[in-house]
Amino acid sequence: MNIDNKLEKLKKISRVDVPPFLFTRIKQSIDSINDAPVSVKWKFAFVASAIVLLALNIGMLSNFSKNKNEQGLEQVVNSMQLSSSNDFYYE
Amino acid sequence: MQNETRFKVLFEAYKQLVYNLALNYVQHTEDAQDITQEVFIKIYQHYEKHDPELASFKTWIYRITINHCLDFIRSKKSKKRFGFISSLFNSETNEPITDAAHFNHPGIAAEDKEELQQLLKLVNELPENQKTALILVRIEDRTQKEVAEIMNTSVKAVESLLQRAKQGLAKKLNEREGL
Repeated sequence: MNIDNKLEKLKKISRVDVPPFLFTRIKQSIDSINDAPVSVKWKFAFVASAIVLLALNIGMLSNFSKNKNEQGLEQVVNSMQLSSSNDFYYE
Repeated sequence: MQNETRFKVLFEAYKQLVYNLALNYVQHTEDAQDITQEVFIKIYQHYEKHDPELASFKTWIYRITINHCLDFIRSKKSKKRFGFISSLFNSETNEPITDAAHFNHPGIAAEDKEELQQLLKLVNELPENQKTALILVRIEDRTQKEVAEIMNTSVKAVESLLQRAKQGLAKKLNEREGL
């Protein structure tokens, strides 16, 4: 059979009506997109700021514990009347 | 697009075009409904981006619909491949759906169903641009000039695509009849 005759049969496909509920379905999808609470951009900004805050906290804590250790050592030296200087005699 | 009434008017004007074109690509009512939904959501979101100097609104809608249909078919094919691989390991689940069972085109009369199903199966096996040209000219009844505008190509290129599509189909039909 000639291919053109065969392809002519595609003209038999008729146009159909769109289901009546489709607009409501589309409208609901659009509304749910519009109601989305936070965009991806904002989510990214939130995560980035949380990471910065966490890093600052860790930095502060490590500094604080370092200072605390140094203070403790000084107290022990003073109570035992040990000299932390390199001089031989007290003046 | 902010105006709801305007969107409703647009939907009423182009719903037939989008739904029927999707139906001709995927030959399944539910899939065509899903594609129509995605297309109109895209129109709603990107309405302001449409440049009337580049293409008419109708051409723009045709392009969005065709791209969505092709993406849908590609993703379905990859899912089918994954389903087949999974079924090798677990025969009880992920059984691929047969094409015959999936075929559901309400625009085809019952007496033509078998013949047109066979023909559309062969059309589906054509390369994407040949299939697009064939659907637009033979089913959607668009002129070659319109198709060239939609596909962003020349009329000569559309002629060539149609010619190659015909040759491809004739070859496939001969192979089938030879078996």
